[in-house]
Amino acid sequence: MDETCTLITGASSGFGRSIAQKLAPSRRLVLADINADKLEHVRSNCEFPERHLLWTRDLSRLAGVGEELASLLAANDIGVDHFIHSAGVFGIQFARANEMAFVTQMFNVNLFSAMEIIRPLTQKRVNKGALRSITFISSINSRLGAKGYHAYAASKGALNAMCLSLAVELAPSVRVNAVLPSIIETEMNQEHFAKPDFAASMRATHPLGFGRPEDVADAVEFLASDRARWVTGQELVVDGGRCASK
Amino acid sequence: MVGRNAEKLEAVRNACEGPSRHLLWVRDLSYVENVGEELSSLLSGKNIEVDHFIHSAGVLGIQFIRANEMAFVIRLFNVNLFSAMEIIRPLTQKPVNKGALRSITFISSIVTRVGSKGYYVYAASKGAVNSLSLSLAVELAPAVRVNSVLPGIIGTEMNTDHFANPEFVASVKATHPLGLGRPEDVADAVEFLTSDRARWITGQEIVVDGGRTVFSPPRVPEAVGNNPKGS
Repeated sequence: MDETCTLITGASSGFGRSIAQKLAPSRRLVLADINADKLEHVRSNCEFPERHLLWTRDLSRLAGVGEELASLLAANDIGVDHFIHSAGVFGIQFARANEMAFVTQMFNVNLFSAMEIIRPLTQKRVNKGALRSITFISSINSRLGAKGYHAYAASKGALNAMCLSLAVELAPSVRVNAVLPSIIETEMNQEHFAKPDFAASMRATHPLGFGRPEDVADAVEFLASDRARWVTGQELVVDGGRCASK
Repeated sequence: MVGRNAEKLEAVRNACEGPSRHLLWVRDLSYVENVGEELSSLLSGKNIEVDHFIHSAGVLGIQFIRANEMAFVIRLFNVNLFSAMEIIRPLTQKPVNKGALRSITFISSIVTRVGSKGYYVYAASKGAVNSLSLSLAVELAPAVRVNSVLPGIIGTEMNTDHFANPEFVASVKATHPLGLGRPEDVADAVEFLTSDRARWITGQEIVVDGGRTVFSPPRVPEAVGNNPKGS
């Protein structure tokens, strides 16, 4: 194995892109997302673009995810030391109109793809024991109920509980943590933030004002570094005081 | 009463008070196709409605992440989580259930609060249930209350072999300050939550675990039954 890399899913937008830009100067990255053009664009905006690898992959389909990743590692003679799962889809659905196709797609991206990615990363013959940390991007919606959020909240609550058991299973070599952001303006929700009412309600419910994707990236950088060497199985809430003031 | 085995369901019905009053729905919840439609037909066929829904169906299985198997994961999520979503759909539709629903109670597990080796899939399914319960509590208020019960480890058919091992029983006793729990302890909590005595309680996780999660017991190094999770 030539070198170790940090793998970031959902790297072409929102939190994932911000994390990539934060980590690019100090680490070699594998950037994963569904859209090759967007990924290329993020890479070219990172420090040292030529060092970083791209993995174009739709995580709403699980078949072959683990195998593809294993081949990528072997072909480039690299291992993954830090895995950051920032891929996520969001959607509103009411219980009375529950649609399993919607639920399955959301669980594939938000939860199950992470399981399939961690599988090869924890196999000695594939990743050579290189893995040191896993960081999940969860959500405070796992702690605050909201109308229409049952499927999204369930997928994030699943991540939190999985994080706890994996922290025990993979100790002492791998630390496993989750970051729980509140709502932050990204491409996913720009239209909402454009409405004055929405922006006002955000301001009213977040004592520290509006959050930025970099706030999440800062927390992730900490958890995926040696400064957090004795931190595992934790949920780090990054929400401008939203939960504290509910 | 819902289960996939007709004979076992019949045996439970016969052991109940007034067996002739109770209905059976034989259904395997490890696949979710048509669950909602079957339930709707059952309700209209019998001209009944559901006022309280208790989701106690669950499968437990140990799997390590390095050997993650999606078929296992999907089956576990179908029974523990997705089937409940598909059951709640018709129960919250006016034309089907006539607004009769008053409460939903999920059986979750304390493994959502105490991490354990080999439990990440089971824990994830139960963590999903907890967060689902919270959002449904907001979405369905004030008509429907939604809560979950988080048991510690209790001897049932699911873990008879473990409880046959004296070392395992000793470790369960050592980690549960109130001693061994019984299925009735969970049933008592469920009865409370589905009754009007709990009329102002929603979105809550009621831990019924003999004190397992309020302290950190001394660890038996890698012994059988060192896992503190629920059933």
